[in-house]
Amino acid sequence: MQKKKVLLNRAMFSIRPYDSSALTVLTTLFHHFSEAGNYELFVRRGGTVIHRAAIQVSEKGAQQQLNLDLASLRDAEQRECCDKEAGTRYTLAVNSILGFYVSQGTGAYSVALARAEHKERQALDSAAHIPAGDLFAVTLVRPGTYRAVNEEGGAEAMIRVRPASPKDYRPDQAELVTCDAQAFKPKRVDITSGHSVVFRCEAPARLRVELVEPAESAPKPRKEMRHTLRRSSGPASRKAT
Amino acid sequence: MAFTDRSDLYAAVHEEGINRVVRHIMQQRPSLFNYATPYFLQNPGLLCVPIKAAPEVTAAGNPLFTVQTPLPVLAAMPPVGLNYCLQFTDLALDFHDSDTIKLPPELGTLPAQRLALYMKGCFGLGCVLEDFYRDLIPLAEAGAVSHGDKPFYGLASLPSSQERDPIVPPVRKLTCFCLELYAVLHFEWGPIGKDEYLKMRLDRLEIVDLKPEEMENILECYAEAVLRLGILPRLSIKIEKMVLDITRLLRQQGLQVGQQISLVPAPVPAAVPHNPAVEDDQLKAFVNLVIQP
Amino acid sequence: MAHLTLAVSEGTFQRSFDLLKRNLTFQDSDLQDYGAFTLGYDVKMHLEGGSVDLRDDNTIQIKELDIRWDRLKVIIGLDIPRICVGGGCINMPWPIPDICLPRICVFSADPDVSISPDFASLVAQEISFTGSLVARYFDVSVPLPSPDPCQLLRVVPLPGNNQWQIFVDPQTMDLDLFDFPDIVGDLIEDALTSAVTALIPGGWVRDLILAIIGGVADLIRTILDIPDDIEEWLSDLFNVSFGLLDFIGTLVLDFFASCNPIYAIDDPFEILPAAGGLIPVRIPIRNLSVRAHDLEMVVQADVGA
Repeated sequence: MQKKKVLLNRAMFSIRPYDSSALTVLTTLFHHFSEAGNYELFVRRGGTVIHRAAIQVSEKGAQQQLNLDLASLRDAEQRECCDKEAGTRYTLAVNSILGFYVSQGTGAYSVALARAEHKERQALDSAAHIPAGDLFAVTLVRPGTYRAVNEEGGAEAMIRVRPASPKDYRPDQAELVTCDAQAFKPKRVDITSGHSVVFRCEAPARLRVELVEPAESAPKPRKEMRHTLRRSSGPASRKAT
Repeated sequence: MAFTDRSDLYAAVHEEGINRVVRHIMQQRPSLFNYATPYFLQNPGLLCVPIKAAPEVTAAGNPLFTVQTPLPVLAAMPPVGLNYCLQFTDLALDFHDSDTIKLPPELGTLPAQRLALYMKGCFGLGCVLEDFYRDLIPLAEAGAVSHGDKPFYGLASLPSSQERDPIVPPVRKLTCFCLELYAVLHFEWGPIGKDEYLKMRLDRLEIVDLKPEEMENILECYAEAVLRLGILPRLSIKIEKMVLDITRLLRQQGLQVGQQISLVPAPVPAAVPHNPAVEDDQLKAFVNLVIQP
Repeated sequence: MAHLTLAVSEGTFQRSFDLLKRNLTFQDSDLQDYGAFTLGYDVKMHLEGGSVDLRDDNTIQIKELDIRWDRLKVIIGLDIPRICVGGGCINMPWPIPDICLPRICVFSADPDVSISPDFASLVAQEISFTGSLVARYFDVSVPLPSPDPCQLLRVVPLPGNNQWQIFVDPQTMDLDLFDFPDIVGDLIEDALTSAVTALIPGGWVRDLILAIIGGVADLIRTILDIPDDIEEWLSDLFNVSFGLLDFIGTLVLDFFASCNPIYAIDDPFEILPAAGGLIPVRIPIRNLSVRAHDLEMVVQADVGA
């Protein structure tokens, strides 16, 4: 077996708030296309557009969900999906979901979607807010207590993240929380480290999830190093340690 | 009773085996046993006894005899040499108790722990033919008187050495005689340098039926010198060779015989009464293996 | 009566055997790739101890010859599966399709870990065998088998001439199986755990990763598909899968039976070397035989005519 060189995805473990206006590792924004039409996608990093694409949403489109890794979009030119002459183009079905996530790195991204024929009609501008009907997901890895805030209305929710146990751990679990201008439902969520909370926005929202109180790491039980010998019988028996 | 009751290793050679070895040597190295003047290179058929050589000898172009200078004719001027040959035709050993070699009465019965040696040698001399004398005498006379003005000047000084190649008269037939030599010998262990060797020592010898007695004594004297100084020292055999090269395998694997391992004779009489022992028609050696820690 | 007789006492045989076995060393290594993991070994051994017993039935018994491992390395390499968080799908009301979350992975690729602990000091084996003393004639004109099984085992070069050779031809052999002690399982698990945990940061991150992979011990067992008893698995690996046991058995059998004579004498045997253009003097050796009894080994031969 030839040893591979692997890199640790350190951004996963850095402590910082997760914000829907600045998509980072462990956050995902899902946009719901409820209408057919042609759209233009702009992906920004630090205010600079790093990627543009055309999106065609039609009744004929077959793809129900497409997740774009914003950290690897620079390689899109080489992908088979795209016509190099016409630029990147995605084709989706009506009512499909386009997800934006960041797999690695420390960059913060925002995405914008506009109708191609009416550029003034923005379907999405994540830097400002999440439109109603869209979803924002956070995968929380550090155990502790988190606060979720909708900065559009000030609603709050608490998320408790339990440490994972190797005995029965399954990573692919997610809890759904809805949020409107006033409140999150439910207001309190318990998940396990590595699981996700998906916020479904029923009104425009800007969501922020931050660690309030990290959980104490449980001290590891010390390995017993001493061995107690006991005599099986006899009046002079004594304990030796 | 085991062979190695009293030593680590035991090796024995039967006299029949030894005599076969001698025959092989005589046939494969005939020049050790035959000596003759160059004349016989072209005329080997004139030798006293035909030489039986192994085919490999002639195939390799090895000589059948060791070339000797002709026997000088004393006082001859110009120098003259005679063709001759000396051939050892038979050689045999007989380990105690004797049953193959019958010793002459002079040597008595073969003592215990001794071996008998029988050797037959033939000497042949090429006499000068009458025709050749007729040619040579005028030359000799001229040489003897050429510088003197006194009677018998030629006797005043004899040539001290052969100053030039001698005239060697040809031979039509050698005049040969053969003598038989018997000897009693024994073996003993002894060092040569750092190594232990099995050595052969001469006790007595006898040349049979030679008269007058003084001539016999002289020849015996000479034969003893040849054996003790010339031949027997060459027959010394290293101890590990005596035991059929038993340590060769160890040596081949990088062990140094003489340093990491060595062979020494078993002590006499502490371990064995005789070592080497010559008995039961065999030569027996009792050897211990010493391994350095 | 034989012309030549050579006898070697049992004690001398033992001491010579002690010298000879110093030269039998064996080393080998192999690595097999099973996809998710690799297994291999890197071993070197020599022989020690043992006793030689010459027996009346013309056999020689070598007892309790110790196989000493100078190196007994087990190489275990694991290709750790992807360690990711996230993922999973949530049900959405019609007409929105179920939404599936992306998975975010801890490493840029599947990491590998490899350990090669050396158990030389923990494993000991013995070998015993009984062999007949056999005299064989090596005829230099007969071509060697191809491939030559003795090629790597021959400690002295092939003779360039015909030779009488004496071998110990083993008939039966007892060879201890590899038996790894209990501690080996712990050592392997500890080494692999250390190798895996060295890849990941400490604290809660490690806890999470270990939770994802289900604990190192379970991971190892899952990947390697081994039962709880690592020692037994390892012993079985060496005894059967690696074929080392057969190899050692064959090695020792070949070493003695066919590759390395305990005694050899050239035929013809040179008694006078070539000198001054003269051919060497050689004597033919005939009818070489060997026999053993309780006290000694006796070799006899005749000088050919």
